[in-house]
Amino acid sequence: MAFSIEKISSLVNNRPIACLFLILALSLTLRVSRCFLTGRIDKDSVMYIAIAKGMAHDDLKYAFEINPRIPPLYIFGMSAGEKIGIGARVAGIIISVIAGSLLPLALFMAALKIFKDYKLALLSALMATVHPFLIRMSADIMRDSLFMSAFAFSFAFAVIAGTDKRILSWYWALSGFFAGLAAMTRSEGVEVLFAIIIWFGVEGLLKISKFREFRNILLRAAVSISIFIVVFGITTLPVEYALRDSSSEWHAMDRRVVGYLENFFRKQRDVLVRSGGDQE
Amino acid sequence: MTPLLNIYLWMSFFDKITEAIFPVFMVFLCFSYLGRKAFKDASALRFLIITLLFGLGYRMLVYFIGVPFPKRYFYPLACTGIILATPGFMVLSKIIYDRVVLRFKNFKLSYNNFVFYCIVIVSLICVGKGLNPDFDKAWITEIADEIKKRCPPGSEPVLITNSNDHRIAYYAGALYFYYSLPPNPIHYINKNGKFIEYHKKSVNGAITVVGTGKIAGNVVTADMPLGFKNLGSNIETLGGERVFFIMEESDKAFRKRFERTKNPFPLTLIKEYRVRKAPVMSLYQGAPVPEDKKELLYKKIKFKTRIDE
Repeated sequence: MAFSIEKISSLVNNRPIACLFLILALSLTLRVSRCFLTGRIDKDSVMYIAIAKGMAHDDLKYAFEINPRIPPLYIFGMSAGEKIGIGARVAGIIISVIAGSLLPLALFMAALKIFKDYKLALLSALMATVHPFLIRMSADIMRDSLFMSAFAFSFAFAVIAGTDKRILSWYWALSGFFAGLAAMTRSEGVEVLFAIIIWFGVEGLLKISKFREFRNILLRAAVSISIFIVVFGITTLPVEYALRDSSSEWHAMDRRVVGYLENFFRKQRDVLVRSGGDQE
Repeated sequence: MTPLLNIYLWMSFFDKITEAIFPVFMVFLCFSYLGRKAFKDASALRFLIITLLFGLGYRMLVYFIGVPFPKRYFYPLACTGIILATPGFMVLSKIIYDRVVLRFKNFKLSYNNFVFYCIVIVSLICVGKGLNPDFDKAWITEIADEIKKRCPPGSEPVLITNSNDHRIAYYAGALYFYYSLPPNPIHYINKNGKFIEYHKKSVNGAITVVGTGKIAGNVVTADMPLGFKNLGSNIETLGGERVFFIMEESDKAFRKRFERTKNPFPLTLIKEYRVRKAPVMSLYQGAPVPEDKKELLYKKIKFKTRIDE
């Protein structure tokens, strides 16, 4: 056993990429195994399958009537599977398994930039590989697996681009692209954009006393956020445009968030007003 | 009281976060501060923390305004949480090695080997949980099999239920209709093909469909007579014995609804399902259609759902 541990240790030190492939292979194996253990599909999966089948066999115009707010990317994939004959259900599982298996790769990329150490980055990837809910989620006919992977890649490319001190980094474009895919899977996909804006704000504040560095950060922020938004728009807006005549009410920027904010602050205000009245 | 001051909501919120990141990794996360030197790029660490906090903040906002927010919506926090927890694992391993393993000199276990064993143990715990088969809700396929078994050959089963879970219908290959009981809202009533907006209290027993087109998502009654008194004739119109009825309540409670309204009970009980962590489910089958109406068994059912048709 000790011999094999030393061998593993030397493998991690000398061949980190080989280790990463082993972790990805383990990730795929665990997720495929989970597929055989999942007895029943999720409650929402029935709706996804119905929309995908409606899209493949009937009319795209009416397919989203079952749930007009549902983002389209995962459904498109399932519908493509239905069209080519493997069935919406199987296509959904395949998409979830592949996306879920690639998630550790995204975390490895981000962790490598953060720790600058292969061992810790591999450990992060391994943790994502064996995380029980990530395994379970990857065998479900649900959008979560695809969303998480797109979100994680968007985050990873943003970390890579953010640690790149050049003013123009094309990794922002990749980050924007994956954020676009995430937004087409679930409305929270746009979270990374807000995190980037806040991060540039914090970085700027930390460098506010050094004029040259502060100016550099402002310039980087303007260029990076612009690239991100442009690529995010290029990824999502054509889909939004293509769905304009259908029953889909999906938007790349979920307008419900504004409603959530209004509701949250209204609730707090109402409570304060009421408690003020009670005191009087 | 504002939801922000509700301790139970906060506990439930943190419970969901802990489950999403996973308790074992949450322990590592607690030790990460001690291993902060592992974060070589401070700027990247700030971005990681901002992304995690922004994700937390957004979920907190949505959670505390009362929007239904299932556990899986918290899973994206696992992405950032795992990276943040990684140094914590190394710190905890070092602490255990120094304070426990080194005390037992007979062990002769090197630090590298110890870390390797820790990784294997943590992986096994996680994989065990991840690959644990689902035994709950077995009744979904059980009921679906029962429906398939009892449905007359060659006819498509019809499932009417007050459960909004479509899975039984999906597994049984059945047509799904929701049976609305008070206080569930009905938005439109179909009166001989014409939709009339309905603002009064809910109907006492109505077979409903979901509206499409301009009224997409609205609950619309099917073009059939409403109320308990018409359930028997409606079931006959839909195909008699190919119609299955599932109530999320006991047989006794369901029969009482008919007794109270002095209507005859038109269904035959097949089985009552009493399962842990689930409501009591009663499965019924419709009475066979008369010989002269056998064509109803094979009739294709389609209700109008669109107001602009």
